Amino acid sequence: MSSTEHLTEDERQGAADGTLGAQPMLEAYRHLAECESCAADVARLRTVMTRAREAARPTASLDDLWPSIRARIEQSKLVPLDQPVAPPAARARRPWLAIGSTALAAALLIAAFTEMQRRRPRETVAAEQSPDIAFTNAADSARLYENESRRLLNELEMQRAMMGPSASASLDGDLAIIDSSIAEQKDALARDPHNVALQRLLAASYRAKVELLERANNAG
Amino acid sequence: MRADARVLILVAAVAMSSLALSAAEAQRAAPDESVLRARALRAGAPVKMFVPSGTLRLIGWDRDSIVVRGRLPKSAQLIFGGSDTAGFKVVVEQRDGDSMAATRLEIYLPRRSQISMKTADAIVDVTDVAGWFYTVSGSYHIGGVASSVDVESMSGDIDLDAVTPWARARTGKGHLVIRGEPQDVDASTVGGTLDIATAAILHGRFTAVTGDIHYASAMAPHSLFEFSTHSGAVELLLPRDISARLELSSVDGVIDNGLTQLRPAAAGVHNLQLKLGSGDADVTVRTFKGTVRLRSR
Repeated sequence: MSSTEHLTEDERQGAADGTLGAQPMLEAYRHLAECESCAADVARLRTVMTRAREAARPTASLDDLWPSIRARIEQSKLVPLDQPVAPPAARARRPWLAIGSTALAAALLIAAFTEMQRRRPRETVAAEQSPDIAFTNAADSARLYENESRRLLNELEMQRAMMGPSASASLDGDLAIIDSSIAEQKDALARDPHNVALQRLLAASYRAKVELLERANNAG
Repeated sequence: MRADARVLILVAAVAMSSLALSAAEAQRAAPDESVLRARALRAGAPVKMFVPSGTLRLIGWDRDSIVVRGRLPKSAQLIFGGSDTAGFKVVVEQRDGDSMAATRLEIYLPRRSQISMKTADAIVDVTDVAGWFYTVSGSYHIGGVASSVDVESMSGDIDLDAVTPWARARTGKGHLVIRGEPQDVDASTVGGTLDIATAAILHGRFTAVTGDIHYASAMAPHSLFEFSTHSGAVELLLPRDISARLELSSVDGVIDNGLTQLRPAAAGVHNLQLKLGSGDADVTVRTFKGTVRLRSR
């Protein structure tokens, strides 16, 4: 590693979590003292690692979490999940046991059917909740892309001076187009706040902005 | 005598300055310099290139060497060197702020080299090499066979015409064309037109903000497509016997179904769901106010 070349991804990760060997660590620290870009990246990595360590462990058990996880999978699945298959029942050894279990099974079936009939309206309500999950997912995406675009925009301000005039003009023009589309979509969302398609389009617009800013960062 | 000496000095000075001027002029008008460099390079070695302007051809070949040949403007300097492990560098450096538009280079390198290439406004033709290609306002044509292609431009045109399992292409207001045989494609523009003309795609995500998107091809069985624009139109030119499930929606735009008279699974002014054939491919189109058009080929 020379002081003019940036640290590799492995070296950054190693410097952040202290797993680099003694000599590479020394060299990495020498480089970090001279290179703001790598130093900032390693600092960011350390923050993420600290947060990950400090994050509270989930208090709920997996069984408690499973219904909501399954609901999210159901929302985006292409093929229905198989129902859990019960282990095969042991072969009946006594006739009275077979008759009794058949009767019990029949009674359970009837009870289950009655219960299904009774619950049908509630299931419809549950099915109607899936757009909410889709909306939440799209809103989460939009928020993440928006935060990332803000970070990249800040980074870009420092690199503007190194950008050529044609790249700069192109960036400004494209940013204006994307910002105007975001403004239109936000207005529409204010009028129709639960529109999933709109929320997805907004996320796509922020994604376009992030990609544009990433390209612009490469232009310097 | 003094007057004669003065005249002599004056004549000499004029002669010297005219000589200097003609020498400088000769240097400026000198023809471009031809370049020929070669080095051993293992297949798979990383190669970084920066060529600001001019015309370039990158060609992957089955030899373990890199060869650069062509012509450079007199004022340009070619930096060429590196190693298999640390990577190889090919850089055309501009001197005195002169234009580099006269650069003409052909670069041959091992097929499996991992290219990282950057230009300002060069016109680049790439064949049989993989990697990351970037330009501010130049253009790229990428063909041949490549393990992956990642091409980005601020405002230039991109023509992706390669056989590749994975491709990503992005431009601002440039024209983006996807053809060849890419399988997994993520392509986007801001204001530029995006044209897709290949039936090889298995998973495609195509987005634009104000640019139009045109898809004109069959769709592979079990392929998955997503098209999204803000105000650009999305036009799908599909064969009549297509087998696909289409879900089209627009917040404020119009959906124009010129493909089929079949009764849709669901329809409104701004949304349409269709199942054509056995519904093998899965297609989702979303626009904010762009028109969605279905046409038959």
